[in-house]
Amino acid sequence: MSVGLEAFMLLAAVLFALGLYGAISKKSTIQMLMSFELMAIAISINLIAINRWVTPREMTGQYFALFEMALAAAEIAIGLTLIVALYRRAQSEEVDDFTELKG
Amino acid sequence: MSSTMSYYLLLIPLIPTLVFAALLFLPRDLRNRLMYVSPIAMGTSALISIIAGLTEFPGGPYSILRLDYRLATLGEMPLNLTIDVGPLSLIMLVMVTVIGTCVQVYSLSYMKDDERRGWYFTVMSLFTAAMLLLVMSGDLLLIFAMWEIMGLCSYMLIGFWYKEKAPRRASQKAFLVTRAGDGGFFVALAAIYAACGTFNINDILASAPGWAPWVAAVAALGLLWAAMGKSAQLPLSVWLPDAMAGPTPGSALIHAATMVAAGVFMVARMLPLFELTPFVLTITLWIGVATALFGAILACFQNDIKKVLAYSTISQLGVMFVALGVGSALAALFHLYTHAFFKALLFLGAGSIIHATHTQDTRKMGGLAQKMPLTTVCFTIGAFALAGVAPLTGFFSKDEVFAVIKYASNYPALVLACAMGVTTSLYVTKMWLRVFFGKAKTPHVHEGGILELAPLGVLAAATLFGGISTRAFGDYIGDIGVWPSWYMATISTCVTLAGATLGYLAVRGKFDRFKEPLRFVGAIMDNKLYLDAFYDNVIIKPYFIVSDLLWKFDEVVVDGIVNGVVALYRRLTRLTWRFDEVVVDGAVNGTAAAYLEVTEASRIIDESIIDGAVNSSATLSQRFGTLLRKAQTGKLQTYQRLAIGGLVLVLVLVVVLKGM
Amino acid sequence: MLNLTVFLVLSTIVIFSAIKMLSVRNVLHATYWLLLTAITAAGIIWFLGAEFIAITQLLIYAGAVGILTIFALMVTVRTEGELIRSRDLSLAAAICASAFFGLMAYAITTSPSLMRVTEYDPPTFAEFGATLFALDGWVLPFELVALVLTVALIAAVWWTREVRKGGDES
Repeated sequence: MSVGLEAFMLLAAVLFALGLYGAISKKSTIQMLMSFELMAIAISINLIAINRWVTPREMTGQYFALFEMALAAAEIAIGLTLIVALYRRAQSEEVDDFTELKG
Repeated sequence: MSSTMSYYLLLIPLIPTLVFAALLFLPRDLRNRLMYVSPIAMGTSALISIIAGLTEFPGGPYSILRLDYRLATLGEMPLNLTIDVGPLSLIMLVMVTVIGTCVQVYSLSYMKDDERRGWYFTVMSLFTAAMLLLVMSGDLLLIFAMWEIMGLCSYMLIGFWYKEKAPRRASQKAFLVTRAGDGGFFVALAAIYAACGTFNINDILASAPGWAPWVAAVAALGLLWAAMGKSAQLPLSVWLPDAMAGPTPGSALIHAATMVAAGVFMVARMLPLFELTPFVLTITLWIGVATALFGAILACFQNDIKKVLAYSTISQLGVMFVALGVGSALAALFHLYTHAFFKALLFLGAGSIIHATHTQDTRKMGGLAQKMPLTTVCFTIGAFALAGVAPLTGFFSKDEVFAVIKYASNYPALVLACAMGVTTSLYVTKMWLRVFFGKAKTPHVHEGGILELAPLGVLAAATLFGGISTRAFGDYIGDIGVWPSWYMATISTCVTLAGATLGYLAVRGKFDRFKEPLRFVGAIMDNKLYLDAFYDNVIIKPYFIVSDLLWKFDEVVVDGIVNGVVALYRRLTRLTWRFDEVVVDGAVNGTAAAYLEVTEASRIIDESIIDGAVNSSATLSQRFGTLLRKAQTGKLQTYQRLAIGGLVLVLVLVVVLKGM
Repeated sequence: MLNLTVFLVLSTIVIFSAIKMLSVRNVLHATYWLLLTAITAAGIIWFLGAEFIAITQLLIYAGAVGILTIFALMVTVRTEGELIRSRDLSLAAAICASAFFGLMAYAITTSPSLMRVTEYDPPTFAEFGATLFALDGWVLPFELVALVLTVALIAAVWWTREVRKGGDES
């Protein structure tokens, strides 16, 4: 029995929602970033699944997934750098310790 | 010979893999409680292997199971994972599973008080699975993958007690040194793939005679280098003695019986490739001779019982390389097979002794023969097999190696091999006498439990009676095994006796008067032939110097450029600022003055009428602002939640409105 | 090619490990779970016929991102105890996320299906590469992404530099 596109999109949605939950609930910045990665993974699954059933010969989805991964890599590099830099300033990497935006 | 494919053989590596996967994801307490699963699974695998081995009797050069799984197609090239089990693999399977079971059962008792014992069994399961798949593998890529997994397990077991410094350093050293060897494997893989476009061993060996000679040489040298790293041959032998910082049963399985022998196994599988390039074989031979001899000599100067065994492992692996070097896979594999059993036996025995005496120093032991008679008997069998006493297995396999060297008419190597035999017998006798005889120096010594003695008994029985299988082993893997000739047997027995006499004299202190004049020898030996110092000065220190230089370069040149750019930018900014101040400001000021005039006029109207209205609305917005300010917590997560919540709300609205 | 069993097994592992990643208290273990998620996701992508992307996914997520995260932990965590965090359960976040998922699921299940093809003949690596680097293909976006990545990495290196005393920050 074969599986259709909707199943993959639902799987990606579950992963994305989990990533979203992590991103807006975790106090540790590193875990926040990891949740972002979870969302990025969901996106690539989605792109590849859509590619498989919509643009199999043009491979548009595959190229987009490739670019998305490169951007996610850039994001994580910058993000982790920011965490290290913030850690140098505050000796902490917990989001709650950075409250300079408080009005 | 069976004609159908025996798929049930896949169970042998599958069972420990499943155990590993199951234990990996369990919390620590549960894992500790379930540690019994691992030896039971190993025992099942051993049973299947033994049954499979017996059904294939008397063996021969054929395949019992051949599987090709296409992993991917890279361009035009198919990338396959091949499993190819022949009688040789079966023997290795039996060896690994039986020793693995013995070691794991032994570990149940040895590791019972460790808080991470569950993890220990997890790693052991992974290791055995990898080793089993390695010997079943029919292609180099799979061998390489399993090779790396075993390297990882070795790293984790050496550094098992990671809270202490010595195991940590030893594990890093082992990892780095074997990794340096694996570079060779990678080069060889690249050369082989470039030459024939496949990793299938049979295909490689079939097409190898047609390759350019230099390609074959690169491939063979790369594989040899990798095997030297894994099997701790000079000059990559430095990691193995330090690897003894891990738990003793783990050392028995990984650093004595199986993993270190993987290098020998791999070279034996690829031996036809080596035979195409005779000079690589010659290199193999002489590296083996040097390692065998130096390992044995170094073992004589060690007092730590595990270190003695470690150096003796290095030396025995050297013996296997010698056999490979004269082109005999059979002799190498037979010695590998017997060595695995008696060395595992020695290590497990040493573990019991260390547990009983709470020391690893042979000088502090003594008189254990009365206190631990069963362990003594087992250990003695192992030690005598190592020294090559007839009719234990070690005698037969060492004799076979001597015979093939003689058959190759390589007399210098034969003489050096005999010297190695004398030295081996010397350190074995010395260790044996010191540990089991003389005055008892440690109180409260007693035997280990049944879980420790049973594996020792099994391994001792295998060592005692394994010699009978000399001919059968050869037939089984499709080669010709020979009984020792009387001529060779006499020589090797004389060699053993000579070594034993020297060892006895050494323990009695007859050589003490040479200590003073020969102190420099002792110094060299204490420093392990200065190999560590060599690596320190030739690789590590220059590395630091170069990285220091690079850092300086970075600081001076790169930072200079960056700072220059910044300074330039500042100048530019200042320039534009001046321009700004003089020209733009003038214009702005003029406009402002004009504007002020107009404002003054309107102010009067403003103050009287509009202010009233404005003031009341200002108060209102101020109140509202105070209210909103509370939302500005400065907490990132609150903002994120609000943003996402808003987005979700909008989306819900879109859906609802569209639905209407 | 892609049957229900494979899909169910892989997606169960992915979702399970993602949940574990969010729920374990040890950040280092969370990293391992993230790695497992990424590796299994690579498996899914592999079975969808995008082998190159699957390999890239393995290299980038399981390789680079995992290592980077572990390095960041090594820099910012001083003692073993600091690895253990609270679970950070949050009702608001859970509501947001599940509402989001509900919307997605609603959209996916009620929209007309996008599926256009039933027979799938995956393009080879060679075709993938040829279109990627063709002038009328994707070479420009590819170069742009490469540039972005380079800039990001340089910025990352620049930011983590030790700030020297007396000098300007950054």
